Amino acid sequence: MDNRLRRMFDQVKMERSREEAILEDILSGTGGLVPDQRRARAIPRFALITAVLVFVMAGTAAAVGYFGRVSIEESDHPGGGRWDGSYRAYMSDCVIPLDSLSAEVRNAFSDGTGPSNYISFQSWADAEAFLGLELADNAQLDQMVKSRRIQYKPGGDSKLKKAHTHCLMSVNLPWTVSISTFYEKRSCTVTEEVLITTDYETEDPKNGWQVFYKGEVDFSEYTTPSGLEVSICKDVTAERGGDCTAYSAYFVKNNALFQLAVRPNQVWNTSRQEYEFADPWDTLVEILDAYE
Amino acid sequence: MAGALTTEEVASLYRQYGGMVYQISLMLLKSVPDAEDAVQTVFRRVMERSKAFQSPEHEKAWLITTARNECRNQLRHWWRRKRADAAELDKLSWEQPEDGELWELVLSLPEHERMAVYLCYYQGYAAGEAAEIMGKNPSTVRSWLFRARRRLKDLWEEADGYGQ
Repeated sequence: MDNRLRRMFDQVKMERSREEAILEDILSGTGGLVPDQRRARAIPRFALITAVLVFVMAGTAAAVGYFGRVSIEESDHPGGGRWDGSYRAYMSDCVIPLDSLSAEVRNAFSDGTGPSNYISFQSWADAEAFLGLELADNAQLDQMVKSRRIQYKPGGDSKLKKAHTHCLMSVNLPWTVSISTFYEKRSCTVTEEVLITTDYETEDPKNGWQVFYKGEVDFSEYTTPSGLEVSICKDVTAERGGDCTAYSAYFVKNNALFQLAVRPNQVWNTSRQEYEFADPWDTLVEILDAYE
Repeated sequence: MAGALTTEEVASLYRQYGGMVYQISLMLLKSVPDAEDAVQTVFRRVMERSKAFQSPEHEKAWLITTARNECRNQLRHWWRRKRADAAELDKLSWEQPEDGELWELVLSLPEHERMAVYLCYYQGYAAGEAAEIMGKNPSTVRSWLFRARRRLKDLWEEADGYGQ
């Protein structure tokens, strides 16, 4: 075993060209990242989004992009060059005690990561029952068609099956649980994702998502009738069939960070005799307003 | 070793330990660009450091601790990658397929066990020395090593590779 570990670690090394480029960068003291992989994205994008955030968030006393308990920040991660930009949406000071989660979850954590910590459910309620938590009820989502998808998993796993709700327990610090669930309407698809950060070895909890986008983004705020404070990202991309407007809404509920993503489907417009995307804003608001 | 390091000394340190810092960072962050960022940050801290290292051993231990702290900061303070390119780690190439399988198994261990395995089974530290670097009791590190070996063995047997 020891020899195998040594042989394996011997092969974990930087590409020679990267090694030299990084050394050059360190010694030059420029403070920048090596240009061929990172920060190569156009600066005007950052300027645009900063301007949008400052404009939209004017009047808030806290950090730029902070609303409710969610912070939104522009990011310079290029996402492998396939995206036009990215931002971070994260929550601060929101942890859930590990002890308050079910014994099954605590056991899954203590077993370490791996397939056993990636669990699929056929309903949101099943996932809540497994976690031992009540996170949210939403009558609008309950009325929608429950779709089933294969969910992204770090490292990939071809054995994953389609399911309505996926639950991933991660022992990267801090220990987290993320849940994803999928819904469908004729005009749009809806993904609800929740991130729970446990208090295990969590000293300064700032945890959230890195979101990559194409096209233009714009941020706004919305408060539901029940007082839920929501940050909303509007993302417009040019697609076959015209502009496609999608929304991602972020809010904290029961100390968990929610992301509600609503994306339009391409539908046939009989009067105009062409495919088009309907703006799903009304659907987004109906769902947000239905959170109890 | 008196005072801040010169550029040449930093370059020499990087050539000696840059690979180790990268291995720790990649093992903890599981992302090639993030690991490269961490390497840069760690060696920038070396350049900013005004105090001399007490010994070569202190130098190496400081780099390990700083690399680990930098990775933990990245994981704690910011965000979890989402919709990112999951193939970043595929850049690694392996002499034998089972080396890649073992790497996957190591990455599946909890962070503290990963670190203990790396320090003791690769860098050659005794459990007591690794415990000092990680700020834990030697008995804690020994139990991590025991659990890690058992998990690796179980996982490898599941994957039909161990002990052949």
